[in-house]
Amino acid sequence: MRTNPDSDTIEQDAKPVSDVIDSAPSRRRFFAMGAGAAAALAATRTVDAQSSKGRGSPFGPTSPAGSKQDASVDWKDPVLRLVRRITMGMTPEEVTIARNLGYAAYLDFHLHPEKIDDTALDNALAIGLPVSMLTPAQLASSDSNEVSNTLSDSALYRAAFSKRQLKERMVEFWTDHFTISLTKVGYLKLVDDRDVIRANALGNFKTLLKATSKSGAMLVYLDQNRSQTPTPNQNYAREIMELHTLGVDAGYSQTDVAELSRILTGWTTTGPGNFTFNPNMHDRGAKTFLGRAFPAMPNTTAAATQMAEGETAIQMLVDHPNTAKYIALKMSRWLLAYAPPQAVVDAAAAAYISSDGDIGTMVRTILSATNLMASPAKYKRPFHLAASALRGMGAQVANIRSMRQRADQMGQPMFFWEQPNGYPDRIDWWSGLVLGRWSFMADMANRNLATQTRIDTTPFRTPDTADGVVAQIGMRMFGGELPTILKTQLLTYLKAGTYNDARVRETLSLAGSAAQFQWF
Amino acid sequence: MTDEHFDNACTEYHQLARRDFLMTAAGVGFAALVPTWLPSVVLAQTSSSSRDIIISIFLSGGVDGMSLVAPFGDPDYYTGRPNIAIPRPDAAGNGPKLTALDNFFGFAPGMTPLMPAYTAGDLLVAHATGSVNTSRSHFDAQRYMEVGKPADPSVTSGWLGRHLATSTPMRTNAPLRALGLTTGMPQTLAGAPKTLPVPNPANAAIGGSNATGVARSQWLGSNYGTATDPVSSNALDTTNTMTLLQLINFIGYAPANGAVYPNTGFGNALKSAAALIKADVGVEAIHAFNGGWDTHASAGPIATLDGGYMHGKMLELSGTLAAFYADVIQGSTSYGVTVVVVSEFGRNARENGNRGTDHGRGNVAFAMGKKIAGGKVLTNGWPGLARENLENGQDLRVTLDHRDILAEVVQNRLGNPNIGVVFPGFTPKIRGVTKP
Repeated sequence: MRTNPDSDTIEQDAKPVSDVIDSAPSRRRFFAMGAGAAAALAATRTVDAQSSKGRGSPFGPTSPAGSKQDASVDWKDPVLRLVRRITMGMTPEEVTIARNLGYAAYLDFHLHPEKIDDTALDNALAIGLPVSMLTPAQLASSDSNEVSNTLSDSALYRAAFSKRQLKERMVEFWTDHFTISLTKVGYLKLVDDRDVIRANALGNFKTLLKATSKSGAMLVYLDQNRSQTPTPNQNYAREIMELHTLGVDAGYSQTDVAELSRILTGWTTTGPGNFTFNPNMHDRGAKTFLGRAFPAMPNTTAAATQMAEGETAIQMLVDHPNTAKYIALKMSRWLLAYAPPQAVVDAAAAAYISSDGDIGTMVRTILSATNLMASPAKYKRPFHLAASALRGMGAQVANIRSMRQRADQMGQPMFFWEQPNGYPDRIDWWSGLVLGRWSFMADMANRNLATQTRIDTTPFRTPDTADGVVAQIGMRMFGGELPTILKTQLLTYLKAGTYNDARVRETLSLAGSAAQFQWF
Repeated sequence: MTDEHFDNACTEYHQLARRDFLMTAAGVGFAALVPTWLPSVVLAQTSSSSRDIIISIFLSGGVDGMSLVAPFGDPDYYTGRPNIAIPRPDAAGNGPKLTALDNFFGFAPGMTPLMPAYTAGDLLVAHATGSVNTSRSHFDAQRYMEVGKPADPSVTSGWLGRHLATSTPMRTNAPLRALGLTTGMPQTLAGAPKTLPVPNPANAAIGGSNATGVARSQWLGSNYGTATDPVSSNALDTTNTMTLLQLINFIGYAPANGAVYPNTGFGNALKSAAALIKADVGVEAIHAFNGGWDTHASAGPIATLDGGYMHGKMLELSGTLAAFYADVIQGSTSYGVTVVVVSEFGRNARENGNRGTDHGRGNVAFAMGKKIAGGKVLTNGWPGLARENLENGQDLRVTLDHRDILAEVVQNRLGNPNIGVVFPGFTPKIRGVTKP
């Protein structure tokens, strides 16, 4: 097949174009091209520079010349930066805890959620969302809409009001990393959220990964529960490597996908999503996975021995250095910056290896005060924004459902991302939909129903003047670091109309809609 | 990308965005450009442009192209898919069967709503097409297809975004040139000026009291003026667009020619796209996703199989495109309209043990429009489904780079000669996708 060295065109004849993959590094290609092509590529790069607008190096968004500055330039206090990063948003109570403990002890405090009393939340959920407490068997016979609403409601309620705020941040992270579509698996996701994700969110990654591999929700979501010899289903075998452990194309081949799918045949569910191994579905033939031989087994082999093949393969995955790198990269991106410095990623990967997968050790490595003070702001995703507004405005919530359904319209209904890669952790995906955020804030700030969600303006109207309200906004929603320009803008708006409750609520909605509130 | 690149480009971009914003704010305002549009009113031609508006549709999950458009002429289609192959068009009996497109390919029963467009010569079907990138990862494959350059992670803008960035607006001062009917910015459109995700164009209000809506909108425009991009430019585009969208009656929109869009998210998205096009406000590119195609299991492609899931998915797709065809392409619009439909990859030639198919390679793609040379199934030779002809022994080979289809549309229907920018490092072959 003839190929043109300056392009990856397919020549005539029915030849596979995969033979001419453009695998050359782009810079070399740039110099190898003719002048016209090089100019075209340069133009592409310029468009990319414009489009990525904030993905420079070495640390993600930088501050271009002129008045446009990263939101973090107003964040002088390291402790407050940490509150922003490891919680779902400022509250006066959270700021007090952080200030009393100081940076290191405050991080430590949140790294041990089991020591934080959360009985108020547990009681509220038991009364308000009792379906969240049901056993899998009970859930299986419950109304599926109510189960779905309960899970979604409890996710936002916990995010906003749990005292274990870093745990909530990590629950959101693992919920995406181990995405499972509620649409496909129904009540099984409630069980997975409670018994797999939440139980391990700040524990050990290897334990968490293994728990997901035996989660009924995961096995159903990725069709593993139906995979059997001689025609295995490759869905889970591929995604456990690409998305859950090694990262895409990181040391495995299409053949490894096929071999792992054979190894995992028989990993299925019984009853209400309970894991079981079914030897009748298992392929006992010889396999080779990531270079390791798995010999053929006679049909008299004990079921536990047949199943152990899968456990061995999964252990190979969690022990693989590429898994350390991939989890380190994703956690660094989540906790620190869209483009985390390689040194931080490397240190987090080393922490994964030295701690045998301890998530808290990795968090501590990534979120050093030095790292955090150097990192630019990140843009809140809609779920985070909704939780931070509920926190910052001091919402009183008797029933979160209608508020949560309104928040879903901002584009991130939790558990409903269809593909197995989870909601994006990328500013370019989220930053376009500003109108949905503004209308959400206008809606929320006007909520005043004691039976649902109520924003009480009394604490903000203390003292009951325009200056008093803006000062309270600075304290409550911005942790005391209210940027001067925003303070002026809020005062200008508040004073431009008749001072009354409606105007105060509008000012609250503007504070939540303001560019400065979108970052953390 | 270097820091210099970033800073320079970014400053330029700011200046551009700001200048446009000031121009429009100081000028007549958009409202004056927008007719008090009613669905039944046919608008006068306001431009002599011969460029088409483009609708870009991405079927995410990897659509099983061999079910949508089945190669009944290849006997290995039937041996590889004993439980989910669709009977030949000439099969005996009255049961579900393929509808022949030629003597080799046929539409699944769920695709037949597109027969009128195909028969009229306005729908082109391409097969054994896809990306030169062999990734069977949804996310890598989709990304490289959306950016339009395989296996180059340094390119972050999309092919359609670069088309828009390198072409003059079809309508001067259009506040919004492109949109994604999506909750986030599709990578296909990344890099495009004046482009936003608008998940529901019918709901473009800022909320709260009407009395203070304008004041709050102005406050937000000012507040976001000092934010970094992309947040700042997106906010300014939003404040510039809200009024415009609210002037269009999406809810009361009456499609032409009796077209009925399926009442689904995707059906309603294309219906909104039709309303936007007919409102003639300068939107020249619209991107939408249609997901749910990752059919690893229970994917029998006729109504009586597997609860009719796959059949229903196909009906939603074909019904939506057919409605759009009747309403917009056969209707009266100020500009021509071309639709392109792609997916990240096809699926295995052979079914798995769950009546589904795993990730594969070669696939279908579609192009539709008055100036599309349709009514045929375009291939660059059918690679065959015998095991020895399959990629990795599993998958239909890709013999037709999908960029050949898109590039010809960009050049001939979108009037953009900058193919080297839209598809960097790629020299397309003209394959007769468009009419002269």
